[in-house]
Amino acid sequence: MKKINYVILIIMIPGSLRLNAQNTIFLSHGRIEYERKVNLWAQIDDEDDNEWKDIQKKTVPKFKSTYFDLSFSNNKTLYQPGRENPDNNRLWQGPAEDNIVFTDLETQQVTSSKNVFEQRFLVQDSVRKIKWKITDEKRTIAGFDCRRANGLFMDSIYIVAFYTDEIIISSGPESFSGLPGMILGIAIPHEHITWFATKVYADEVPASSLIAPKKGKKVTNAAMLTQLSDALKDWGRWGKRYIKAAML
Amino acid sequence: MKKLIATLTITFIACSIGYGQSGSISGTISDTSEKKLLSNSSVIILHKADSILFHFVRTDKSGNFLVKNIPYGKFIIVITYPKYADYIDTLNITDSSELSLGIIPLIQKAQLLKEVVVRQQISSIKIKGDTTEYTADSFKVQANANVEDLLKKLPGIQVDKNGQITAQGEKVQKVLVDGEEFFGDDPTLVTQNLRADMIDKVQVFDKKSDQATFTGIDDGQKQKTINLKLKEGKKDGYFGKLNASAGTNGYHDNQLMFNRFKNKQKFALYGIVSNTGTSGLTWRDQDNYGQSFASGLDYDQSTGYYTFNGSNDELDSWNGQYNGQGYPLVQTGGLHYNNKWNDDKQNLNLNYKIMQLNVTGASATNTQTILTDTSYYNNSRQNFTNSILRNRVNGSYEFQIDSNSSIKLNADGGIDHKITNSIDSSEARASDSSLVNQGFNKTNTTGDNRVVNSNLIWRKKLKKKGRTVSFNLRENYTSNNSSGYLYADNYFYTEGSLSQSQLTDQYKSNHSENLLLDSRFTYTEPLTKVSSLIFNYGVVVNNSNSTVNSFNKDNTGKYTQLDSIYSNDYIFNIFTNRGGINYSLFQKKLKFNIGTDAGFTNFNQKNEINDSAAHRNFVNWYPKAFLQYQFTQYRRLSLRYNGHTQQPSIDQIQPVLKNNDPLNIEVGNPDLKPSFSNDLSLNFSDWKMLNERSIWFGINYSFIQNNISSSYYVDSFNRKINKAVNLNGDKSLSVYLDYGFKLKKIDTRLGFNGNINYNENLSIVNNILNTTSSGSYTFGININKSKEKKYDLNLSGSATYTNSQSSIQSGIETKYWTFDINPNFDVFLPLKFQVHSDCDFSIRQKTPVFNSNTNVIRWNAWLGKKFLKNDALVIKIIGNDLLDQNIGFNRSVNSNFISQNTYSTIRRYFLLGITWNFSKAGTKIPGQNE
Repeated sequence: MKKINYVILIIMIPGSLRLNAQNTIFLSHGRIEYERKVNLWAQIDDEDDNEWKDIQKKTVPKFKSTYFDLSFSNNKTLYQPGRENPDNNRLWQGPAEDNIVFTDLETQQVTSSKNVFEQRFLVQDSVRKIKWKITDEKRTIAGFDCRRANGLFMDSIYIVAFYTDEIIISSGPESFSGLPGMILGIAIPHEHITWFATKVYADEVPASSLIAPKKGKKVTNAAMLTQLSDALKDWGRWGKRYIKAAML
Repeated sequence: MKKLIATLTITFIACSIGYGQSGSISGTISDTSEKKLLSNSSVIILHKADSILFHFVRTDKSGNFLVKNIPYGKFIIVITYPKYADYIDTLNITDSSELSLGIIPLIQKAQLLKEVVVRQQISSIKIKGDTTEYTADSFKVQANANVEDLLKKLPGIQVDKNGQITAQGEKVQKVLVDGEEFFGDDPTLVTQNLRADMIDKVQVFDKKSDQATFTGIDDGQKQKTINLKLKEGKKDGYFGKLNASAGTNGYHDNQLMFNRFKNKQKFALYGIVSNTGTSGLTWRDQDNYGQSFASGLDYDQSTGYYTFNGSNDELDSWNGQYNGQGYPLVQTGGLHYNNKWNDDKQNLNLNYKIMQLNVTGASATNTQTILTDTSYYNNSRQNFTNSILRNRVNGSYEFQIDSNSSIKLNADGGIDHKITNSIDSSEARASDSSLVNQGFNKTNTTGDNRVVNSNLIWRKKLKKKGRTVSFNLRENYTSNNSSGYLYADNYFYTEGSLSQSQLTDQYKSNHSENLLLDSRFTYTEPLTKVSSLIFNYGVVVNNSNSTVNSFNKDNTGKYTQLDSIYSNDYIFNIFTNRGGINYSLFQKKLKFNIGTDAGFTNFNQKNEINDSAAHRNFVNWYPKAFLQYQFTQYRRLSLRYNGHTQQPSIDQIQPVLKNNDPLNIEVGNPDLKPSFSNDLSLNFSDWKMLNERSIWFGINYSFIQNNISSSYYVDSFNRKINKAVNLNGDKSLSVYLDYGFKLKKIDTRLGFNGNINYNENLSIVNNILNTTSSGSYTFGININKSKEKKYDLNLSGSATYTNSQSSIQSGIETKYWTFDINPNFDVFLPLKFQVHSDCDFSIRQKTPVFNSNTNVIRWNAWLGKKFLKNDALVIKIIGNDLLDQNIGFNRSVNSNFISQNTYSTIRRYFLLGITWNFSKAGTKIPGQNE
């Protein structure tokens, strides 16, 4: 013991100690509920300074929350809209706010069905390559100890993720994955969007329920990006924001 | 264990045997104290240079791992297992052979705790309330220091080398920036960074857990939280615009606008002197140099409706142009002040405007009067000189009292001093073109109008979600005083020879006042998460009085003899108790509401001249229903019904003859009842953003009970008396369709639109009920092609067919076509030259009555060149109405009267103008392209 040198990164909360290593349970299947939270006011504040901001802010709450469920089993995950939030009934639903994402980690293929304006796309592509940087920061999300990793998505979008190694499957909400465990929290700070797990259920997930969505116009990520960039080129800052949202 | 925190570097000597530039590592993870192999441990390989994740694996059942294909280079290996301390080591892969790390022991954190003494520095700072606040500026940090550097300086806060923050001895769970979680930016991944000098205050407090916040049940769990309050963006500057133009025939157009801002304070002023039609700020300039339109808007969260409380002023147009008849000369200016303070919770807007407007011009009107047995044709000409001096003050104050209640007050007031002079001449002929009457008419009137309007809204959200109360008080006060002279000399002919003449020479003095107070208390009770009941109750007071006095000349030539036929003094007070209930449902796709108000209305009328009074009571209903189905976010269908009551105005009630035009006398009717309108509408829209295609479709139908209409009596000299009466059965129908799409191949937008308007208006003509059916049918098309900074081409055209028929003489049908074609273009030329041209071909078909040529081609163009940095200076040569053909034109059908009005309007001129956008260095002018 004394021969080994190491770094101690964190002092954890004594209340959650599990003293016996044999009791460590690694989840290999189950369901996670995520809360997707958008800071609408911060998005409005990013716009040019004018007096319309005030009236815009009055029409929307500061945060808009939507819920998603991620079911996982056998190296397959399915992310889809969860319970409804009636507070959103009066709010504008932006593009790609009700995505269904199926990830097969065996074949490294992702199939996602996304409503982007009037078009439903079925994006079939390989698992997104995200440049991840592992950090020492930790936090507890939904009862799981998570480690922070900072990432660069699509080479330019800065993201912050918290993953737990107590869930074996290397996946996460939307098409975020590639960390040594399950992503329970993710933030896109400059877009003011976060996903955080609210509950983790150790449910049995029948294989028949983990199937890829089928509806939508078949495209690859690159093809969708081209089409959106072309159609939204005159829409300024919001156009860019919509493109980012749709490409997640 | 004495050297607790250290790293071990294992360096492998390169042997360079074999080929391939990659190696592999293997090992076994075990718990040293429990002597157990750890399966499912994460083995993570990072690049040493930047900690970027290279690869990861999990250990198998026996705790073994193998990572292959690691390229040569330096790596960090991190091994993690839940509730165990991380194992970290560096690797240098220089060799393709499998590197065995052997058994790697992990230690449970609990085990470690026994051996580690954690030193915590407890701060000596005292906490006031539950928040400790630090003012960032009072702690010196280096320029470009980041947030962590700042936090390190704050007493009671520690930041360890891993970035973990401890405040007052407790680990900080969350860092917020203005309430939103802040994750910190990784400088190796992003360039944007939150700098210490952007922070105003650091607040440390105990936040209830999210669960407690969500459920409202305090579970006693607290999280130490830091909130970083950002500084308001420091702003201090000015910008403005100067425009000076002069041209042919004395035309000129000069504007100066200036905006000075300092942080949240804005002070702006403008001045305009123009005779080319510029009368105020355009909608865009209004945001920068006046009170923004947005500040008059109000949004009600419980209903989702916007209301606009700005002052409505007929001389304020959205494009800042004078829209009336004649040649305007405008001298106007305004001041604006706006400030926000107390975290933007309080907001004050103040404005003052003054305007001197002089208008001169001439107009000609041709009117056909259709009667049962005959028709008359009237031609009149008028020359007018009007002036108005206008003073207006308005303002708004808004106070967000707390997160649940707010109060907003809008107010405006002003005085207009108006002088109008006109000289008319007219003649009327019968259908056999024999002369029926001739007239000469001269009026001079001076008047003062005063208005004071205000609107107060108080809103409060109650504890239960969705339960709200609000109170709204609206006040409108207007007062008009006018006096003037009427001189009218009229001659009447029978079968072409003079049979009567009438001379009216009167002094008139009128005074009227109206005060409206409308109060309403609203209570919303949520039934479910998606439905609610809305109750309202209020009192409306609407009091008017009007004094009309006409004096004839006495023997001495003074206007002292009151003419009782044309004089009256009347009071008309309306009092309403109004209350109602409304049910509202708002699901994701279906939105529905239905309800009604009932009003108990009391009319109190008093004729002060003969002391007669009348009291009448009415029950008024205000039913409404709305249904919207949203197929998708971009396709929706809605149906709306709205029933509303319109009370007669004192003008329509007051029983006095108004002989301002002795050939067209108007008289009020004290027996008028409120009218009730039923409006039904259906709207559909479908918008495709990616394909750039849109469809808008709508149908509106309305029918009116007890419509306040007219009863005309036209005598054989074509003299008309018009009395307000209630008639049942007015109907109108309108349909519109707009379809737009993009031809992608040629990058051109195309749009088609169609409009149908059909009306049935009832009136009484010489005691016979007359129904006038009129319709207009428009088809339009527009084409647009543009390329940013290159060109913008636009062509639109429309064709309208109008017809009208009156039941009293259905043999006469008025029908004609009008066409409008508008080719417009802008071309951006080299050397910052720009050419603009807009053209309006107006083709109006002649009719047997309107047989003069009114076809016009109005062509405006300008050539401009931009100079200086940011194109701050623009010089333009402007040509207005290059073909010198413009005429003011209006055709209308009103019951059995069909008329065409042409009037003088600005025609050809050339201007040379210079526009200079100036600003303090570094100031970005809002709304301007960079």
